[in-house]
Amino acid sequence: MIGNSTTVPTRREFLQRIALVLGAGTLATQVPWLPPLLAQPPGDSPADRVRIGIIGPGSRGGYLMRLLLATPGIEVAALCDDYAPNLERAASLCAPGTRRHSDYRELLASREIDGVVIATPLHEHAPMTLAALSAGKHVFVEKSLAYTIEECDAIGRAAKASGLVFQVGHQRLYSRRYLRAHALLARGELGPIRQFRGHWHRNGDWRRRVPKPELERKINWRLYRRYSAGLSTELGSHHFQLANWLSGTTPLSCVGYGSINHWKDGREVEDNMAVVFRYPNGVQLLWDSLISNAHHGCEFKVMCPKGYIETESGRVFLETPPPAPGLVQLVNGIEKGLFETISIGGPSWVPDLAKDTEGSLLDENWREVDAESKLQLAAFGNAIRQGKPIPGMIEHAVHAGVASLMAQFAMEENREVFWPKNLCV
Amino acid sequence: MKDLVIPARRIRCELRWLAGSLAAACVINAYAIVRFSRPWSELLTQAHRVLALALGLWLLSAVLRAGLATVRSLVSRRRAS
Repeated sequence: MIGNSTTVPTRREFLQRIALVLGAGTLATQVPWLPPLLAQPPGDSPADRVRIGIIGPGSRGGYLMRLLLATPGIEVAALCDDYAPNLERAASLCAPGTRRHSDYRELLASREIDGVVIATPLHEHAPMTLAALSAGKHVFVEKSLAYTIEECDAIGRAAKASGLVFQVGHQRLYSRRYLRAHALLARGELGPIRQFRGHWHRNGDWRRRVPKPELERKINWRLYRRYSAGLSTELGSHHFQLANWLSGTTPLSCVGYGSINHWKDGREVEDNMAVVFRYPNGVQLLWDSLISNAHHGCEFKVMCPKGYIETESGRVFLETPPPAPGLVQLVNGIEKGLFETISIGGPSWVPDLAKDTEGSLLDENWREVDAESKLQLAAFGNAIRQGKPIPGMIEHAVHAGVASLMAQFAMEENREVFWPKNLCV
Repeated sequence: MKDLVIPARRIRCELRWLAGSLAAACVINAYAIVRFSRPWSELLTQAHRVLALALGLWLLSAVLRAGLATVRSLVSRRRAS
């Protein structure tokens, strides 16, 4: 959603925000995609300015554009959309004179553009990204990477060969609570990862208002298989990326089911799905999504023998909580001895109910919703200014993109889908 | 309204009992640390609980001493009569 106003933070505010993320332990040295954030902040010179073109400044693209307008050293220099209302609305928020295009190839031909942000329907990601890289433009492309596995691989290869900055919209890579979860797991404090469990539940038809019937597929492209892979790519890709990142590997195979059991309104993609990914060492990712009940919301859990993490809510729960102070234990013991009743008979087993513990927060300041998206765009701008690709981004993009499509194919073809061989990364 | 006068002797006495209670709470905390194999840093980190325990012990001693004084007073009155 495009806001009506943008606030450009001062350089000091911006640096403070970055310091907050990098302050999470020694993350900057351990996580290869963070160092671009440590770059010298841009000055006021035009040479320090990175000129970005937005391809698809609609809903998500408009949101990214608003964040870019508030990022020091970045100029939104051109807009491209073949849907005029989106283009007009976006242009009204940019500086007067910002170039407008209805064909992305015109935008890519412009020498005034250093890089592009691509936030278009899924089926357009690959042709646009490949064309942008071929035109020598740095690319930030929204997740999920592409519509087919072959396209994911082709983008990965082109990005590697180009030496240009390439980034994908997996903003959790810049989230302090995810970085802390990653560090906690890397230190082995919870033991090895034994299972991932994720879900993304909403209650809504996922439709946007259509002014004319002929625009149905253009505006509600997410609902049609020709343009989208539905819940797998639109929601699942975030959690599949997390599983790959936190496990440090990729899945071996995937099985799953899905159906349209609630929103029977002519859509072609599933409104519910459940998949199981098989990872090395017997680890699984159990993931499901539905858009007919929002009670459980969105969560991604990492289960380990000594504890588990709820990454979305940013909490860690230890299996054996740290013992209470000695004085408390002594008083509790005396109290128990005095007042506890001794049962003569009773159940021979205790029900395995969920533990009702609050856990502890991974990060106290995580409620700033936009923080991670702002930082990934700042990293994109800094990397372009430095002229160095951001390490790890191609791998995250390709691996998450491929995993999302595996989940979709497993459902559609009712078979176990194996990790493709000979991928570029 | 009548002024209440607490003699200096009584204040000194109660301060001694309070100090004794505090010392006893510290000893109990040290015992608990050894008994439950907790770090010695709890001598400082649990200071708030030690203080609460000390006040509790002092109040308990006050109640016991008040009871004892009442019994003594009753016995001495009976002897006098």
